[in-house]
Amino acid sequence: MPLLWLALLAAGLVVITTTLRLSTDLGQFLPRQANSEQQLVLDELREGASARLLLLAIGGGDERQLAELSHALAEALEQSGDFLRVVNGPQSLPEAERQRWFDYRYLLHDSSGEFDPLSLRRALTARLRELTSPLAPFAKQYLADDPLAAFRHWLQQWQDKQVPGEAHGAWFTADGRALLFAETRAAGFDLDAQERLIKRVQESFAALPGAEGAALQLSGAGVLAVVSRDTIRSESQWLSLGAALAVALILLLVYRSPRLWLLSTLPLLSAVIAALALTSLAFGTVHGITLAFGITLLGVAIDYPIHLFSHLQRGVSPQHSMQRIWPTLRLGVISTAAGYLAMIATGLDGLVQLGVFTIIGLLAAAAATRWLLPHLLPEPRSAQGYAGEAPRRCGIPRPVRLVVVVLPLALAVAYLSLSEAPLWEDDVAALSPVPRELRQQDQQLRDALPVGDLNHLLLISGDSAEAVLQQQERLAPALAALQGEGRIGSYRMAASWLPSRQLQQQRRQRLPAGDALRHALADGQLGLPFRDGAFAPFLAAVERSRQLEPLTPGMIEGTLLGARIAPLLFQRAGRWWGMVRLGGVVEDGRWLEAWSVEQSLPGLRYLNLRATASAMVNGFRDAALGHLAWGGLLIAMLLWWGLRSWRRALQALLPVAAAIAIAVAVLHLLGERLSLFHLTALLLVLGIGIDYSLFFSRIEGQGASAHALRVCAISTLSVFGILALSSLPVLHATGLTVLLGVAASYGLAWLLAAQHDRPVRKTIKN
Amino acid sequence: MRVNRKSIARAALAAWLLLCGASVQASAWGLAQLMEQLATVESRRVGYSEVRHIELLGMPLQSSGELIYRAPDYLKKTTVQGGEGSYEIDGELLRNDAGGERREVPLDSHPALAAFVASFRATLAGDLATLQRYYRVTLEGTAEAWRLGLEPTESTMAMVVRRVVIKGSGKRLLQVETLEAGDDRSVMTIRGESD
Repeated sequence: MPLLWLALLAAGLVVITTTLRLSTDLGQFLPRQANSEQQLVLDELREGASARLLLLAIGGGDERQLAELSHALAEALEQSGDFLRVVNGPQSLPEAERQRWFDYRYLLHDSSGEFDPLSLRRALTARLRELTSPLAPFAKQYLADDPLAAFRHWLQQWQDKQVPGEAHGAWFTADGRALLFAETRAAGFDLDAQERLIKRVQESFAALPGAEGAALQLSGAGVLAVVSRDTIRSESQWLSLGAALAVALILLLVYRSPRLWLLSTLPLLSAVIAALALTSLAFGTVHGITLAFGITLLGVAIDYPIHLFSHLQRGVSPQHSMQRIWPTLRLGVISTAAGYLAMIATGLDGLVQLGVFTIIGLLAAAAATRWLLPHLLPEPRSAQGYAGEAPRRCGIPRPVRLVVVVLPLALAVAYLSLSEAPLWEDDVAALSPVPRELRQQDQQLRDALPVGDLNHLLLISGDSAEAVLQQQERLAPALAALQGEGRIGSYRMAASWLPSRQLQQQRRQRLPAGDALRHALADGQLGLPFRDGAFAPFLAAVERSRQLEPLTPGMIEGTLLGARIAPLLFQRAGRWWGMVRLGGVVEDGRWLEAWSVEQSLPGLRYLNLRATASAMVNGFRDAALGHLAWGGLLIAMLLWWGLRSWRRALQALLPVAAAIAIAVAVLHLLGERLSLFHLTALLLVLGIGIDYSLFFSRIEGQGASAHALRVCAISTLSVFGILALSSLPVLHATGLTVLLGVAASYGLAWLLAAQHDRPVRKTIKN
Repeated sequence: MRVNRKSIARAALAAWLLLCGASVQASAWGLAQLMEQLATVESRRVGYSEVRHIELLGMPLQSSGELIYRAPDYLKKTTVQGGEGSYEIDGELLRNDAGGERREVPLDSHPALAAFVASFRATLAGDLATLQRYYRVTLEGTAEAWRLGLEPTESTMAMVVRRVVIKGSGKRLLQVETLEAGDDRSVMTIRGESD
């Protein structure tokens, strides 16, 4: 048997070393709505251009120093070639690009109706006035080529309405830090690349002259993802080390045998290797959270050898002792595993994986305890085994003890149903492993930058980029009207910068022919001091525009204009999508849904991202609760089947049900809001609690069972107590929930234990 | 003879010291001194007239009006004749009122514009550091009749303005000549302070 085990272990290790790939995409643990438009937008935000933004803030110096650092850093990053663009202040188009788009000015900007003599005259008069201004040298730059100032008007949209404060050419936050952003070439979810870039930015900054006293702060989706990966990694490392030490210490103290302690780790070891190998084979990749969190959930497997150890007796072979407790242990394992079926039923990638991982691990640990350990165990030296004295029974009559169990259950349920404070965490962000301060910093920088409000969006879909742009153009007058009424402060969409091919063609067709324009210009120029022939370049440009092929999204790739448009116009799931970002929306946009329907524009939808994300989480939670209820029913059925008595099955469930109610009530009293992680932890409590009930209600070997349970409870409480210290919401929630739930389970199961009920038999025996 | 020689040596020393003193005095007026002197002026209010020669126009453009300056960074140019309207530069913001229309442009968003504004405003403020950030600065003449030459060092600015020459006397500015791209140029003549 040990040989078979060794062979399986080796096979598992081979599978792990050859196939294991870790993934870190947190999205697997966020509720999804497959193929919905909301999901599409969320994915685009997570993976698209917005996710590639690195936000930088430089503090610790006076404005001029910081501005100089900001310029120097921007230049260094620009030259590194790792970034699509680096922006540290008000942007103007690079000269080369300016020249390129200048040629398209009469297609990009609407100049129709400005080519008659009267309009031309009005335009020329305005230009003449500009020539007397102190800025004349600038005003006349494009005068001969573009007396209509079409290009300047197009460029004006380039200026952001909401901009951060500025000084010495650099952006500043309200609290006086220089502000930059850089768009990485690497994808936002390519965490290794992001990590390299972060390091490079920090090195570039440290190498700048004058950077000694200043502090650079980095944020952005990539940075947060890297931080959360590192946090998960380091926290789970030291937490599992701490937990392992605590368990080792407890087992050594209790059994006073290094050999037993070593043997106690075998089921857990088998569990982790089997779970990892099979999950890796089944899913291709194993998520970092599955690994960290799953091993935590498998911590319950340390209980299995403890049960066996405590039941060992001198003169009884370990195999025999094992066989005696096996029915109880088996029922406990199966019902615990059944609880995790609820996790699989949710259908959420990450949870399915976690459920599969845990079930495989539990079964492997039980198998190792059943078929491997007995072969390796020595007989205990003391006659009573390790368990020592038979437990004392408490003198409280059973009905009173029943009340003591039921009363807190009733109180907790009553408290929870009467309390007005919300029970559930609706904010998706609270589940993130990123520390709250970092998230707040990120939000601060994001708010200060003209990255745009991402909350209120209008989404327009179409078969092609062209179709989307045309729809946006149809929507434009209504948006302008909203802005005029002050219902919205601003709107950003691709079509404002890049009109559809159709519209550009229409504008091209309306451009006057050479002679007609020459005559109109001559009329318009009459009496104004411009020289004859001064506008020959303009005439030539209009003539050239009449032959110009419209500018399309494909032609602006890799330019600053393209970078502006990329997050607003993108292809996904075989369709094109255009986002209209609304800023300064009044009444939190409650009217926008109805408004968007009124537009009767096919493919137009209003999205409130924050509300959508919350609704998704809530919907998912309701579904998860449903799955949990089914899981509970399944467990009850299993117990009934295993114990062959409804009464005993109920008696096994009662303490753990009360414990869960108490744990939830206490969590609520502590100000915690329940999330998915709490629910998962409650599943663990359910499994452990049923184990306790089952072993406490065993009739034979009560002393040994009670001893085993004491050891189990102490080790579980110390492991999850350590976990509750974690700064990661996932681990903290789990630790605290299990701590409360297991403590309550143990106490209540003990109250209903068989040892108190059968004193008669014992006395007779004695 | 000994005594004589000593007195000769003493006289030579005295003459040398005197000469040194004179040369020290001669070099006492320079860019730094001009700037220092200009920086003492808290506010100005002057009239101006301007002639602008632009290739596109068949004739020179004439305008006149008033300039107001308050240290260190407020400047307002109001045109009364030949194109009405006003330009106001307050800190980092340029405001333009023309024909009832009001426009605001942040100077920082246009580096060339910021440089151009600096040619005049930083001179008034006696801010040499800012001038030298954008221009190669040269000074000719005396304290009573000086010529400050500003040549843009940045290419974006150089494409618009080739050279600015400011003439003045003491702490007063008399004329600002701007040589623009092409063969265009403008000359602004500043009339005495008018309170």
